[in-house]
Amino acid sequence: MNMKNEEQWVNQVLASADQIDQLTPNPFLYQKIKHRIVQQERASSNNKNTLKWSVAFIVLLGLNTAVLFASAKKDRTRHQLKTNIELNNQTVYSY
Amino acid sequence: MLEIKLQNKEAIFENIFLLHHKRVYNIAFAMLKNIADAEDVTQEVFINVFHAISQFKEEAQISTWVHRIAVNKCLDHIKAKKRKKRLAFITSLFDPETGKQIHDAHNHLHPGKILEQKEAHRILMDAIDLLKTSQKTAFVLSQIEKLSQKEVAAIMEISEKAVESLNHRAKEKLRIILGKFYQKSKVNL
Repeated sequence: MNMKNEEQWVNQVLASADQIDQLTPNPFLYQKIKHRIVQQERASSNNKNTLKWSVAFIVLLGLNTAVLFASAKKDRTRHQLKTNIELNNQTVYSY
Repeated sequence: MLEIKLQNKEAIFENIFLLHHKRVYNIAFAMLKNIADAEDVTQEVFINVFHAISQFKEEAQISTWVHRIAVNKCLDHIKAKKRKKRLAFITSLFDPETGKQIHDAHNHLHPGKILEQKEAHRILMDAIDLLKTSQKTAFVLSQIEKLSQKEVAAIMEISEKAVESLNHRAKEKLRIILGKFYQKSKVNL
């Protein structure tokens, strides 16, 4: 008898899966989703802008450094050339 | 790829939402047993759908694709919640003896059900929660959401036979769980 009751009860609980009504979601769900999408896109565009500015800054910094190095090298070469000419002149004069 | 659909992404997205949001929400509720979580997961599913519309391949049906995203998001949510629970255990949000959450946020009484069915439904949902993930997914999709075996197989990316077997094992396991529950509480409905 007890076994029968148990089986009956288990069947009843399992059958409750057939009587479930479909839930209706929040009527503003679509608006909420759109809002989150817009927020995400804004955040991603901000990140992209930050990335663009960072890259531009790094490129500018690199160019500046390159120009500085190049001009320093040029100065050194010019200085060396000047020293060589002076040395040559001195040699010429010493004769 | 959906070239025509790309032309009007928003309109297509709205259509997909209108057609599938109720089912996605109900799947999420059945899997997570919590209205707030179900809404959150539904939002995540459709955000994902919006971003991935252009990558959708027409080999699959849109409904299958959307439902697959929903199931995966629910499983991710369950995993994340389990991780949180473990962390909360350490921070003493749970009863140290039983391991149960002291302030359980579950509200798995289905709001669409009448009073007499609530208890049976609550017990069933608690029992479903004890099933293995694959059995739980198959049971929720086919027995609660009433999707066909073919649809469930496509969503879970397994064969129809495997779905049948999962459902069979899920029912067997549920009978054992519910039997134990009956013995324990001597519930007489």
